[in-house]
Order: sequence, then structure tokens, then C-alpha cells
Amino acid sequence: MRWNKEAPLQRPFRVFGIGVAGIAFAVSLCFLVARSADEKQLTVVTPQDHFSVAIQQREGKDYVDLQNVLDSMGHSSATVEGDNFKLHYGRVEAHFQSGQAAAKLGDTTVQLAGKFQLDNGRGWVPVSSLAELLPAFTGVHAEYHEVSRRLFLNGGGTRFTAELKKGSPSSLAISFTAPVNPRVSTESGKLKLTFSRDPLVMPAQNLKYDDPLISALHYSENEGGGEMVIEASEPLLASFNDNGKTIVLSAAPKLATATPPAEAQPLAGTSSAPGGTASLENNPNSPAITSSGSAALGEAGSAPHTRYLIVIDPSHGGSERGAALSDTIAEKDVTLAIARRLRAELNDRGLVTFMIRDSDSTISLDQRAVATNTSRAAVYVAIHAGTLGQGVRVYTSMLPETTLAPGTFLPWETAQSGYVRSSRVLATSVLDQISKNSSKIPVAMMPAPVRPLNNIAGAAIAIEVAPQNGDVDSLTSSNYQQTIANALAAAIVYSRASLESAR
Amino acid sequence: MIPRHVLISFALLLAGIFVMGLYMLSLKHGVETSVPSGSDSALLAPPVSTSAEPITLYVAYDDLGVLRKRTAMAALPSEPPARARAILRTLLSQYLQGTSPHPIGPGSDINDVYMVNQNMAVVDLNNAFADGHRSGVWEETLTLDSMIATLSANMPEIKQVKILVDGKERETLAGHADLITVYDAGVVNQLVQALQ
Repeated sequence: MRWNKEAPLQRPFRVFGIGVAGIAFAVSLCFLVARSADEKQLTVVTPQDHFSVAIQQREGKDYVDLQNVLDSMGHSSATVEGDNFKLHYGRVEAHFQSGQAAAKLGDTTVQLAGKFQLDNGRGWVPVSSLAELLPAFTGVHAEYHEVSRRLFLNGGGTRFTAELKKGSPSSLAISFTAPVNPRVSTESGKLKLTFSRDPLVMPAQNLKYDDPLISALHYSENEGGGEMVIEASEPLLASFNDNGKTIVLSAAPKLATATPPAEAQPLAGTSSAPGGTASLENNPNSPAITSSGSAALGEAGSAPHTRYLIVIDPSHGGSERGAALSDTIAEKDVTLAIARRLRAELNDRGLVTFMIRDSDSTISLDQRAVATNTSRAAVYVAIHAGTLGQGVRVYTSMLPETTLAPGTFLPWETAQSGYVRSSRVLATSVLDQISKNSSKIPVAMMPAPVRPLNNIAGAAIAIEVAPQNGDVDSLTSSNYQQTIANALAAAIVYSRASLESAR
Repeated sequence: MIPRHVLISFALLLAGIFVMGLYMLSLKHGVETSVPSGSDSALLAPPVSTSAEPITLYVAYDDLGVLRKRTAMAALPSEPPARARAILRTLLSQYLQGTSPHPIGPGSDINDVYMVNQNMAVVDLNNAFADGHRSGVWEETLTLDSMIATLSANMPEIKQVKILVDGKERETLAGHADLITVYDAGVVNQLVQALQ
């Protein structure tokens, strides 16, 4: 029940309103029913592009408007006389009869997989018959994949080859004929690549490898497209090369590598820059550089970390602008500017950094946390900007502190709980360094419910930079940004020993 | 050839639609001129039979970055969900005033409060609340802390608080504050003490 004041409505007005609402509801219902019936799509893939046409269920089979398909490739014309349907496409003239499964295309008779149906002057044929009809109309080869509802014309579609490069450890290079953008997910002993938008043309395939790391690759089609499953004895890392035309699967970096911190390697799948930097968006085809997902979290605490990787997260980006700091200043731009300065400062101090974004791109909060966890970052710093108050506020998670036993599985929503102490050490260090570097910048530290701090398995803080002396324009001042970046970098270096001993 | 009776029916229907449209416009005009505007978004106290009693509010002050303890009078129903909702709406009425120390978007309201196992309050905000809320870690944190601390102060049996928006789970309030998590009232109260 709502308690807002309502304007007094006269009874006739209300009756009229109910009537109109009823009609609108009925129309909407019809529209929704009609839409739900039309939801299935046939994807027609040509060498140049691909397009979708609606599929309808008729007599238990998938049917498609034949003229609709032909018009997507050229121009057709049709005439209807009673039950007869005559269709012209180029020089081909085809005769169909409603209720009949045989059709004449020129001098050839084609047997359809179901009865031809005439509906409002449009001719509907079973989708599976297109593989025979389209070559007769257009002269091109057609191949229909029923499971994924995809029709490949004239060799269209993306093909792939997989090559195992043996070594220690081995890697699997999957090469595609066009850039691909699969969704990467993992489960125990498997890495899945789901191709929902890429028109992979390969039929079902099973490849076995005699290798201790990668044992098999399975490719199969489903309603959503295609799915590739790679079986492996260890968590794999998927890296995208050649503008998304090659995916290399290799063993994820181990926890107990003996690499000195200063020589730590940037993440696979990302291009490195001098000074040891990388970013999640260096590979736009990779939704996240994840390879080991929850398995990676599950191993937390089982071995000492020796790499001191700093993940810098410039909050927001792309369509997500964050706070409107003024009419012209968006939070996402200020956070990126400060993050870049922090990266430079950390690189100058010999630390390896990873930027969640280095341009104006949209990355979800979960993707940020996944990227941080799978990279096994020692430190995560999220950067925010706001207009309220002055100076810098340093936030840590509000989760209660717990102690992690080796091999503990960490629930996603409370992954930070075992690292709260480290996060507070880092936050305190930031507080000290900012106070030390610039007494003019007020700084405060407190727990706050900032996403995705709770999901980070490592020392994690969020800083919110507020204007200096109440002047919003100061947020874009290079001096102000540099002072904060300097203090943050100094704090991260200063707290390194404490954080590493805690890990 | 269209039969004559179909044409006549069609013409009559068109005429009917036209007349009803005019009638609706005249009704709309009448309602608009008879009701004073500008007061629709004001929250009203629920019609309860009990007399008003003092409640504790933790009111956020943006300029100071603090939460201040305030007392207000409100008539509270005896049922816990309705009681919790009335308490929160009293708090929101402070924020919806023109001179609010922590303004929130117009039309912000609590759709409902549900109690789970007598110690967890599930607060369902309306869309206007979340969509109209200012974006910023501090702004959003003050709002949530203020609501949770106020609930906890007046209904100590509430140990956990979960926030929904229009009946659905939402990732953040306005881009920053976590709405996926279940808030521990004890942890929030500690923070609020520090913020006083």
C-alpha cells in the first residue's frame, strides 16, 4: 500500500482509464505472444557477413519465409494464384503449391522436408530444405547446421585449426580464419570457450592429445552457437593474439614461482610496456583474462606468493560515467588520469602494475574482480572521485576479519574477509604517506561498502579523491593528481614488506 | 468490395473513438485544474491508530561528513515490517525536505520492508530512490549507514539488512555502494559511532 497523496479521480475517468488500460494490456499480450513465437532465428552466414531471419514453428517443424531469405541476398518477386506460389529470383522461376512437399525450380523438382505453406501471400518452407533450395536459386553451396540453426553459404563462416606445441609446459594454439570473441569460463579441469556471436562452421570435433597438460579439445554446436572445451590437468590461461584470430592456451602462472618481483612477467594475453605494465583491455576480445576462476581463489593461501603485482582500477568507464563532478567533468575521466599517474610512479619504483582499463571502456565490477584475482595481485587499488568534502578518503571492506586456512575455498561475496588485515595495513600506509607528503590534503580512512572490494582475494583499498579546498576543478589539476599518485605509490612501496609477510 | 454494414460499423467505431478521446481530454483538463500540483512526492505518515512516539534517527550531514543522532515523533504500527517501513519513511522525509542536509532524489520511497527470521530486514527501495540518488562513494555510504543505523536503533532485533530496488537485487545504489551484500547491523553501528 502506498501513502503518497493522489489526485481525486472522478469515477467515469477511472472507468475510462481502466478500459483503455485493459485494451492496452490485451494488445501488449498479443504482441508479446507473437514475439515469443517469433523468437527463434536462422543465422545465414555468407563469406562477407551474416544476418538473421525469423523462424516459425509450423506442424512441429522450423519454417522460414523463403522470400525473406532470398531478399537478404538479392531481389525476388512472387505472385500468388490460389494455392500456387510462383517465385522469381534472378533467372530462376520456382513453382510451389500450398500443402505440397514438392517444388519445381526450373526443370528440377526439389523435395521439401515438409509441406509448403502459403500465409498472407508469403511462402514458408522448412528451414532444413534451404540447403537444397538456395543452391538451386543462387548457385552457391549451402550447408545447414540444425543444432545451431545456422546456414553457411558459399564457404562462409569462421574455421579453426588447433595445434599443440609440446614443451615444458605445452601450449595449444587455436587459429581462426577471422577474429573471434568467445566467452571464457572454467570449471574443474576444463576451460570453455563459448562462441555465441562468431559463426564457427566446424562440425563436431574431438581431438585427443598425448600431453601431460592438455589432453583433449572438444568442439560441439548448441542452440547458442558453438562451444569448445579444452581438458587440462592444470588451470589454463587463455591469451588472445593476432587481433583475436589466435587463442593460445597455456598453463596459468603458478603461485610458487621463484621469479624475483622486479622481473615478474606481465599477464599473458596482454601486451607489455616498458616498466612492466599491462591492462585488461589490451585484449579487447577477452572479456576477462581469467583462466582459473574460482579454482584460483580456492588455492589462496596454499603457497607463498613471490610476485608483487599491483592492480590499478580506474573506476567506471565507457557508458558508466560515475559521478558527474561538474557539467563537464566525469568521474571516469578523473579516475583514469590519476590511475595513469599512479602507474607511472609505481613503474618508476620498479613495481609491476596491471591497469584494469587504460581507455574509455566499459568493464563490469565482476570482471574487475575476476581479473584481479586471477592475476593473483598483491595489491588492488580502486580509484574514485567525488565532490563531497575535501582531500582523500581511503576505504577498506566492511567484512569482518577472518583467518584463512591453507586451501580454503573463498566464497565470492566474502573473498576479501581473509585479507582485511592486509587491506587495513595498506590503507594506514596510504593515510600516513599522504599526511607526510602534503599536510594540506585532508585524508581519512574508514570501512565502506564499495564494490568490488568484498570480492578481491588480496590487499584491497578504494580511494576517493575529493576536491582540494572545495574547488571541483582541482580534481583535474595535474599537481593535485600527481601529489596523490606519489603518496599512493610511496604507500604501496612502504607497506610491501608487511603485505608480503602477511601473504 | 467491402459490404456496406462493415463500412457503417467502422465509421461508428471511429466516431466513438473520437468522442471518447474528447471526453478523456475534458476529464483530464478538469482534474488538472481542480487539484493543486507540487505536493505529490511528499511522503505521508501511514494511517495508524496508535499515537505518535519518539524514534531515533541517524541523519547524515553531507557538509560535515557525519551522522547525527536526532529524535523525531512518528506513529508506528505494531507489525514489525510496517513499523520498520514507517521508521525509514520518517528518516526519508528528513532527506526529502528542501533544506535537507543530505538530499535524495524526489519521489524516493520505501516500497516495502520484509522481515526474515525476525532478525533480517529486507528493505525494498523504489526505483526513484536508486535512480535519483547522487553518485559517489561517500554520498551512497552515508545513505545506507543512516538507514541501517536508524533501523537498528529503533528495532534492536534487526541484526542484518538487505537492500533491494523495486523488488530486485541491484549491484550498487548509484555506481558505488554495494547492494549485493547483506549488511551486518553491528558492523554498521560501529562505523556510525565513529562517524558521529
